[in-house]
Amino acid sequence: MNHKTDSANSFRGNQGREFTVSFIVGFLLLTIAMLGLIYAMQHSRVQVWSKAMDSFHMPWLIASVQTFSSALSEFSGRAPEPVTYTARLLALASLLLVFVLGPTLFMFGLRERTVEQPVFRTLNLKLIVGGAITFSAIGVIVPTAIFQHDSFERLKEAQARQSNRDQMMIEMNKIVWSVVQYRVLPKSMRGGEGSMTGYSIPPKLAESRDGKYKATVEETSVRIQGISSVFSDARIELQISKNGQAVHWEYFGNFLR
Amino acid sequence: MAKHSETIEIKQEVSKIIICLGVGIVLVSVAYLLSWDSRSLWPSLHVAGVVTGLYLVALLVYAMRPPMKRSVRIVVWCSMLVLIGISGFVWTAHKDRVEWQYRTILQIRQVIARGLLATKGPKLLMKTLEAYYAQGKTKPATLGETFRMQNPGAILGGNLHKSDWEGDSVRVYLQELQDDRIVLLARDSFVAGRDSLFRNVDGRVGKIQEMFTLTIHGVTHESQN
Repeated sequence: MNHKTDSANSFRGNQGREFTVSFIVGFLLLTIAMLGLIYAMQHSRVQVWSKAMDSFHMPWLIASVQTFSSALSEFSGRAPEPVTYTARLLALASLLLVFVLGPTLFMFGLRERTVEQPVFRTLNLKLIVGGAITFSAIGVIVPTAIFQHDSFERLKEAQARQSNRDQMMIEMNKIVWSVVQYRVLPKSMRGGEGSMTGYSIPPKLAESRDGKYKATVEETSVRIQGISSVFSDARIELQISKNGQAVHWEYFGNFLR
Repeated sequence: MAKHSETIEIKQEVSKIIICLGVGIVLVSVAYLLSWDSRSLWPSLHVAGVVTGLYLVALLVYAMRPPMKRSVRIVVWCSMLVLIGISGFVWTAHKDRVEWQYRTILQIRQVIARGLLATKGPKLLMKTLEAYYAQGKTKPATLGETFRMQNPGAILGGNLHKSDWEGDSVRVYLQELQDDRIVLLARDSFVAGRDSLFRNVDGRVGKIQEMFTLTIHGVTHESQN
């Protein structure tokens, strides 16, 4: 029965009318309008709304927020909380709206526009509503695909730098304790007996996969220089007071970025 | 008569859309709910995402069937497949990124915790070593006695660390106390270590733990987990 209706409609003079000029113009205008709206929202004061729109166009953002929340809970020593029903419903609603409702209306509208004669005027609404939902999602997803890779690489590099710096700081803190120990131990135990003169970094602390360290003993302090083995031109300098306190940390080169 | 025929067509058209939408919504929702995980949204989203992809392909097959022109069919099919592909790529790339960030956050926490343990553990022992050698050459008190004098309430297996803040999860346990040897075990209650099966000093499993040993030669450090 349906087939008969389709066939009958398809021969009502619409042959050769697919992608007519008015259709293409309307389509382009709709796309441009949606992209313009997204651009305006992202560069205006309504950024909160824009972010909410992004989340709604990309249901995986809702899952990301939940993953971050779990990570922060674990970071603070709390057990991750179960996913809320609100988040679950939002993610499902977003998936259904953007990937089921929008494309379904759009496809039916497109078919009707190109093959079948609209049976009543408001049916064109399918194409408009479906197109608006689908193309606004595309307007968010496609730029995200383009910029995502680069931003992730930059993020990874920044994190690697930070991680290297943190690791070197831990290793330099161990060197601080070795300085304190040297000052405390008597000369018979290869110590400085109250002085830091003659101190040198023990071989097992002098080099690691993160950095290389050298000590310079000054009159009332010891200066430790750590040079990164991972990032060229990245180094840390630490001054240790005569009491064995780390008094001044300074970062150079890549560690300043 | 013509009006009656048009009404039937409207009803059929609306019915087709409702049936199609209904099938899509039910399939995606069922897939989403069946892969329920109380702690993460990702499994539900992935399964529902795959079902959505299949639904979109089926929708394309249905909507692009003849008598649509071949050229139109090709353009729409290609566009939709590219868009489905891009969405899938953004989706999975985003998940990879979020998982990486999740691991990174926990890794940062681990670095902070190890840094704290590496400071708290030796601090107590270094004080003892300093006091021991400050006695001069005669040394009336042994290393163990010096430690006891400095930490009068210390008992074997007890925690020596005074919490700095409410959420402080660092504990420093006195593991061994002899005249010439003192062993402290420092661990963090929440931060996972390298081995998830490692049994910690306080009965927890898989948390980071560092061991500090004091002798008259100084402090040695071993990272246990």
